[in-house]
Amino acid sequence: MRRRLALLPLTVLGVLVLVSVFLHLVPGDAVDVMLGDSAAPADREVLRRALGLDRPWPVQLLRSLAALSQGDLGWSLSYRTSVARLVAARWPATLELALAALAFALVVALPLGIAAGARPGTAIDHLARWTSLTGVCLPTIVLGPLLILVFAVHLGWFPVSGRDGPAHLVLPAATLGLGMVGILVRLARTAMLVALAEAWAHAARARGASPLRVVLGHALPAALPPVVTVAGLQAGALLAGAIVTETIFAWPGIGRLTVQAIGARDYPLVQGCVLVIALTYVLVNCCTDVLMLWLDPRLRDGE
Amino acid sequence: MLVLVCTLLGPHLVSADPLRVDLALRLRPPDAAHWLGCDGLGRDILARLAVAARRSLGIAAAVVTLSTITGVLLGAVAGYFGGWVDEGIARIIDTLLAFPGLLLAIALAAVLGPGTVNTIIALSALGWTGYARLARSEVASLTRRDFTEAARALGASPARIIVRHLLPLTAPALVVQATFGFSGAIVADATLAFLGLGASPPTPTWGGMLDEGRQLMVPAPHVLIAPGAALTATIVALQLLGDGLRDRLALPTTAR
Repeated sequence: MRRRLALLPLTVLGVLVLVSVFLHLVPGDAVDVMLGDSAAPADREVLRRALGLDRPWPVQLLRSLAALSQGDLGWSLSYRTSVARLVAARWPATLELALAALAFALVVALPLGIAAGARPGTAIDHLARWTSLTGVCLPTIVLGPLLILVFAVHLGWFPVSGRDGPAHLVLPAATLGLGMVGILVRLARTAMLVALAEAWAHAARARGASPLRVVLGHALPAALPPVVTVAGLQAGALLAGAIVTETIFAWPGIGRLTVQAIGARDYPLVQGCVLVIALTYVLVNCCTDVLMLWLDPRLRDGE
Repeated sequence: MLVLVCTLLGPHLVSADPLRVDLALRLRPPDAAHWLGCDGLGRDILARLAVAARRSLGIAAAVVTLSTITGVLLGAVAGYFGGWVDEGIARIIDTLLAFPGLLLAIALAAVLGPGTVNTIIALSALGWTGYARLARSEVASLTRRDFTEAARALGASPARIIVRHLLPLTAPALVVQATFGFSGAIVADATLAFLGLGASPPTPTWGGMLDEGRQLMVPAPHVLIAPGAALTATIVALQLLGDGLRDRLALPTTAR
C-alpha cells in the first residue's frame, strides 16, 4: 500500500509533463488564434515574446510546471479569463453528473446482478444478461440521442438538455451510467455465482440458514470486493465519458468546456481541462486502490 | 452467434455510390429509391453508411495492428527481461493509463488536427498499452517455466525464445483482446468524429452522421437511427465474437 502511495506523485508528475508537452506541440497557433490572420509578423513576434512563447520549449515546459505547482492553470484565449476560474466554475456540474451516473449504475446493476447470480437461468438472469449486453454495446453517442428522441421529444417526460433541476439530470446520468451498468451486472452475477458455489456457502445452507440469509449475509460480502474495485476503476472512466455526454446534453461541465476549447483552439484551456480531468482520475484510482485494500484483508500482503 | 459476424461483413459488400449532393432530396424519409432516406444535404444515407463503414473498419484494423505490434513487442521484452527494463516500460504504461481512455485520444486528435491518419495515430498512442500489459504478464509467467530454461540452456537467443516459443502461447489471449480492441477502436473513432475531430467534412463517418442526426432528430429521425443502428449492430457482432472466442479458446495458456 505504501508503495502505491509513493508512486502517486510520480504519476502526477508524469501526467503534468505529458499534458504540458501537448501544448508545446502547437507553438505558433496560440498567437494566431489571438491575433487572427491579418496581423503583421512583427506584431506576432511582440506578442510571442510577451507570452514567453519564443523561448526554447524545455524552458517553456519548466515555466508551465512552475506555474502549475502554484495553481496557475494559464489564461484562456477565448474566454479571456483565468483557466483555473473557468474550470472551478464548471467542476461542480461534472461532479454532479458523475455521481448521479455512479449512483444510477450501482442502484441498477447491483440488485440485478446479485439476483441473477442467485437465480441463474431464470427470467431475472436473462434480463441481467440483456441489460449487460445493451450497456456494453450501445455507445454513448448512440444512446444519448436515442434517449433524447424517445423520452424527451416523443414522450416528453424529461427536458432535452441543460441543467436546471433534478429532471434535467435523469437522461444524462442514465446515458453516462449505462455503460457501467453493463459491466457491473456481469461482474456482480459472476461474483455471486462463484461465492454461492464455495464450500462455506454450502455449509451455511446445511446448517439451516435460509437461502436469503445465505445470499445476503454470506455470499454478498465475499462477492462485493471485486465489484467495488471495478466500480471504482470505472468511476474514473466516467470522467472521460462525461466529455461526450455533456456535449450531447449541453450539460455545463468540464467535459463540454474541453470540447468547446478544442473547437476554439484555446490550447491553454484545453490543457487546463485535460490536466484537471486526468488528475482527478489518478486520485479516484488511488482511492479505489486504498478502498480495495481496506475491504479485502487478503490483499494486504507485504509488497 | 457467428451469424452476426455477417452483419459485420455486410458493409464491405455494399457497393459505394458517389456522394452526390442533391438539395431537392433534403431529409427525405426512406423510400424505394433511397432505402434509408436522405440526410440534410440530400445525400443518400445508405451510400454514406457504406463508405463510412469501410472507413471505420479500415481505421480500426490499422489501430489494432499498430497497437498490437507495438504493445506485444514492448510487453514481451518487459516480461522476458524483467529488471529495470520491465520497470521502465511498466512506468510508461502506468503513466499513459493514468489518463481516462478517450481523454488522451481527444487531446491528441485536437492537437494533430482532423484526418484519418491522425485519428489512427491518436488511437494507437494509447491503445498499445492494453496489449503490452497482457503480453508482459503472460510472457513473465511463461519465462519462469522449465521449457524456457531448457531453450536458454540449448543456447537460443532471447529473440528466438520470445518469438518462436513464448509469443505463440500468448496468441489466443491476444486475439481475444484484439477483437474487443477492434470494437473499442470503432467506438472511439466514431466518438472522435462525433466531436468533430475525425475526418474533414464531405467524408462520411458514422460519428459525423450521428452528430448530424442528433441535430436533425426532430424533423427527420431516420438520419439518426440509420447510423446508430449500423454502429450498434457492428459493436454487438464484435462483442459476441469476442465472447465466443474467449469461451472457445478457454484461456488458461499459462499455469498461474
